[in-house]
This record gives sequence, C-alpha cells and structure tokens, in this order.
Amino acid sequence: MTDPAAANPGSRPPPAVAIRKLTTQLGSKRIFDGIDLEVPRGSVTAIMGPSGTGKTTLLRHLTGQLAFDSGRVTVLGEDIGQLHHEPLYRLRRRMGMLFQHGALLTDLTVFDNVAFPLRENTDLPEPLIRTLVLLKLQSVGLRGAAGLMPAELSGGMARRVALARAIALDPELMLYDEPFVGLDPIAVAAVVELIITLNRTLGVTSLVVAHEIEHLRRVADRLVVLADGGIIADGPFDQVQADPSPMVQQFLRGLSDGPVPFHYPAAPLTDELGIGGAT
Amino acid sequence: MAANRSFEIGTGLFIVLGFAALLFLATQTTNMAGFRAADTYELKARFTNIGQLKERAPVKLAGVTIGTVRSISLDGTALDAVVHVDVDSQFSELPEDSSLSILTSGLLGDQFLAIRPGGSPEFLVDGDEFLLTESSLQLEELIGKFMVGGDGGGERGN
Amino acid sequence: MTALKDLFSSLLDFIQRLGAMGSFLMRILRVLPGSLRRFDMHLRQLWFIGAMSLTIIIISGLFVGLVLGLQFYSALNQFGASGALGTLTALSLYRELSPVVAALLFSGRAGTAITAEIGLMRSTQQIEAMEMMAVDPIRHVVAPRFLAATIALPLLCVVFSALAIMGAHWSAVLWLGLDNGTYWSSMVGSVDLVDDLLAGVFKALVFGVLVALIAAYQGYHAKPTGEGVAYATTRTVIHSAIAILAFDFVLTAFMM
Repeated sequence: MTDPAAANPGSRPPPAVAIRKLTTQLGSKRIFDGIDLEVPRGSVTAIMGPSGTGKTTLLRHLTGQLAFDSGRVTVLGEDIGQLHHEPLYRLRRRMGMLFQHGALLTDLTVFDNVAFPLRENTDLPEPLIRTLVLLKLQSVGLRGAAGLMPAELSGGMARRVALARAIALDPELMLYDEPFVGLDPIAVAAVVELIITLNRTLGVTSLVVAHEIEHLRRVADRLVVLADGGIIADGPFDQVQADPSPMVQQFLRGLSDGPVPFHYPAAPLTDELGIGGAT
Repeated sequence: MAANRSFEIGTGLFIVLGFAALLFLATQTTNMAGFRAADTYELKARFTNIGQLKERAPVKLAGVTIGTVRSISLDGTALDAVVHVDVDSQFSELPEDSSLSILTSGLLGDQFLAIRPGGSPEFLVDGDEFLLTESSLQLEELIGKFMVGGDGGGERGN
Repeated sequence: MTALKDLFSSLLDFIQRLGAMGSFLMRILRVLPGSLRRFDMHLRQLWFIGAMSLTIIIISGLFVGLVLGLQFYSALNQFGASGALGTLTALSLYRELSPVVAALLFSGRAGTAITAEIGLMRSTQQIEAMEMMAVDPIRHVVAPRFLAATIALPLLCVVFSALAIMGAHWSAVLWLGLDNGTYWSSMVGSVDLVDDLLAGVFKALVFGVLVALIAAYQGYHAKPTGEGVAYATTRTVIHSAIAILAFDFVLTAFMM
C-alpha cells in the first residue's frame, strides 16, 4: 500500500526500494538533502561517491539501523520509518547484507555462521538446516571449509562465507557494503561472479556500494553517484561516464584536484608562512 | 561436542565449588555450627539487668551449651527483663532450684547464660521460671564498689 | 558562573547516562527469560566469566586472609583479646572485604573481558550483522553474559571468603600460635549465617549486577574502533569501582 506504483497496477512491478525526499543530518553535517531514488526489482544498482558522502549511511537507512530526519523510505513495500522491533525484524529476514569485512561471528565455525540465521529465525529440523547450509556453502565454493573458524579464513574466503550467510534465508534484496575492499584479484573475481549469479539465477535485487568502477561495471547495469548531499549522476554506466559535469568526471577518472579540492580549506600558503609579498 | 562437554563439566565444577565453599563457611564459621536442637522446652527467667545479652546467645551448663536465648522482653509492670530460653529436651532434669546468671566469655567477649544446678529432686518443666537469677555484672558498678571500698580501684588510671 | 554551568551540565550528563543504563538494563531483563531457552549459551559464559576468574579470586583470597591473620593478631594481642581474632576476621570478611574485593577483582578480570568482547563484536560489525539477520544482539550477546556475571560473583565471593578464612587460620594459628579451637569457636559464637554470611553474598549479587551492567553497556556502546574499545575497557574498571564502593555504602547503611 505504501508502493507508489501500487496505485496504478499493471504499469510495472513496484520497486524494491523507493526513496522520496530523504533528508539526514548527522551531528552538524548534512548527509542527504532531499534525495529521490528508486531501485526496480531484479536490478543491480551500483552506488559510488567520494568518502563521507553517506553511501554506508544510505544502506543503514534501508535496513532500519539508522533513523533519518525526513522523507520516506520504502523497502520491499514496507515503510521503514514506521517499522519497529518485530515488524522490522520480519522485513530484515527478507534482506541480506554483506558487510565490509564479512562480520562473521568469531566464536562460531563457518558452518555455524551460515546456519545462524536459519537456526535463529526458523524452526527447521537440524538435518534440513545441515542440507541448506551445505548447499549455500557449495554455491560459494567453500563446502570444504565448513569446519574452519573465521580466524582461519583468508579475507576473500571470509567474504564468501559472509555471502553464503547473507543468502541463507533467500533474501529478496541484497545490500553489499564495499564487497571488493582488501581482496586479491582472484577473490574479487569470485565475489563479482557470485553477485552476478545471485542476480541472474535468483532474481535478487542488489545494491552495491563500492569504489572500484571496473568491477562495478561488470556486476551492475546502473550507476548512481552521490556527492554533496544529493545524486549528481544516475543512469547506465556509459551515460554516466559521458556526463560532462566536472564533479562526475573528477570522481570517475580519479583526478586528485577539481571541484573536490585537493587542499583542505586554509589561508593562502604564502600568508601562513609569512613570506607573502609585503604590501 | 567434546569441547562442549568439557565446558559443561568445568562450569558444573565451578558451581559445585561455590556451594561447597558456602557449606563450609556456614557449618564451620557461623552460628549454624553452634547449638541446634530439634526438640526443646522453654524456660524463663527475670533479671534486673541483662547487660549485653542478645537473642540466640548460648545457655550453658558446666560450660556445655544446652540451649539458646529465644527472646528478651521487658515486663512493663514489674519493670524487669524477661528472658525466654529454649533448652534441649535431652537435658530435662534440671533441678527446680537451679540458678541462672549472665556471664561474659573473656574480657571483651559476648555474654551468655550459665545454669548453676541446685539440689532439688524436682525438675524444671516447660514454661517454668528460674527463681534464682544473677544479673549481668556492670563494669561501672564494679568500679564504683571498688572506689567506695577504697580497695586499690583506679590506680592504673593516667 | 561558567564553572557552575559546567557543573550543571556534567550533572545532567551523569543523570542522562544513568537513565541510559537503566533503560539498557530494562532491555536486558525483558529478553532474559526468552534467552534462557538457549541454556548452552549461558553455561558457556558462566565458564568464561566465572570459572576463568577463579584463579585470581583464590590467590587473592588466600593472601588477604594471611594478612588479616597477621594484622588482627598483632593488634588484638596488645590488649589480650586475640581470642576475638576469628570473630573479627570472619565478620570483616563476610560483611565487607569479600564482596567488595571480589567484585573489584571481578570487574578487572571478567568485566573488562565482557567489554572487550562486546566492543570487538561492535567494531567488527558482528553486532550489526546480527541485527541484519533479525537476531537481537541484546538477547544473544548481552543477556547471557549479564546472567553469568550475576551468578558468578556471589559464588566467587564465597570462594574468596573460604580461602581467606583458611589463610587467616594459617597465619594466626599455624604461625603465631593462636589456639585452633579458639579460632573456630569464636566465629561460631558470634557470626550469624543470615545477617553476616548471606548478607555479604547478597551484596556480591548486587555488585555482580552492577559490574555486568556497566561492562556490557560500555562494550555495547563502545566506539567501533580499536581506540574506542580500549577506552571503554578502561571506563568499565573505573565506573565499576565507583559503583561498587558507592553501592556498598548504601547497602551497608540499609542492612545495619
């Protein structure tokens, strides 16, 4: 009922995520200044932007972990701003999140980590849980590592186990927070592969927050660039990369100076060193 | 699962150790270790002054604890203290003319009741009263007596 | 004027933190009955929090007892009252020393461990991950540790007392020659099971709740960085010590 598209059924399926006039203020910093964003079901959307522009904050809004100041955020047809406790937890069971460093529970084995959401959220019998866990681990290629502890895993393996755990409850929406950071090229390829497979075979709607444009190009079909509290570019990769805006260009090409200045605001160097031309 | 089992055994041992320590302290170092009789009969006595006597203080005969003070109250008309004591039923042959006095264990110790047996062939029974009692010795009165007697009292003073 | 303002605002901060802790405690108590279904988690924590603190409690208890035996003997012997050594040792241990010292040691050993563990889970996003998996971290992480600490401290306090009684026996009776019978009988004569021994255990129970609450609160609200966790751990020790001593005063005043 909170879906904007539900009013005129038949036009197109309701989006997985719909954000309207979202405003967020963290301390004295205005993170979002009335942004609008819609993510259609079954799509893979990449979100980029300079550090501190609120990419992670955006994800935390979608999961209901962080309250926003005004606007409306609808996830899988539920108005996040209105949800608390049990209904929010019910919605989260339909979402999966891959954390920056995996965030595996360190005192549980790989198997128990993947089994954790199943055991806590379902009443499935243990043999069935075992089957499900092994299947999920098989899909990330780590069935053989089921008995290991998280401390014994490499960064890439930990990320893949975390992915298996995130999809344990067969989510409709997957959120990836910096999935490629700190991985070697082989591990990156594996994660890229998995994100694509999840989307193609299961139709999972995905939001990927990352900095690596070449990887994102392979998994996503749409690129959203956040900066200065708003969305400065949104569209297919080629279109965004051809965007004439100097801000977008600086960011995508990785130029150290531009609209985002290299120098932190300061008095002119000559003044500060006291060697300015004497008047 | 083997690891789980050793956790549980270790935790169980910890709990057992805690309760064992509690049992040890309770039975060896508290009044629980003192006199506890299953079956008692009650006697009472009147004193003009009970000093520092407290409830649960021991009642001794020839130095052996045979009972405890159950309650202490003031008789509003006779204006003296009434002490009720529980005595173990196995010592039921206290002569009727036994006397009860309040004594102190050591110089600074707690006060207790001491029974001095009399010679009557009749015995005290439940609800009876000791007719002969000796109140607590008050240090001040003691010193006062010495002073009056001029018997070397207070020569240690400085 | 500004000093007054500072004082007022820090007082407000203090009251606010008190309120935050109170509502944190309410959250724990609300999920505690439900979390009891997973009893294995609680047992595990009782092992880590309780049994692992035994070593320091046993050693400290023994030494405190040894010292009490020496000190009381020399003090009481001056006026020929060494017969009261057992009484004095037992009473000071049961009513004050055991609950307070055991709680202070416990906050250093187990309280810091709780803060560090939960803080680390916070900084490695494990807490967030649990929330995302629709699992309440308060119920899954905080409640078992809270309950374990609350159960463990009274037990540790009693173990501490037992070891200290033995330590005092060692130094006063075996070394200094106090009569063995006098030592034990003087306790039996004037130590009450409920008013002295169990009252002290009750104090320990209250301190257990305090240490567990402070440690869990600091860990759960630690800044998700290494520095934040280190800072939270330090604060656990300081806040626990202050809370233990302050509550000790209040409890003693009520129980006298």
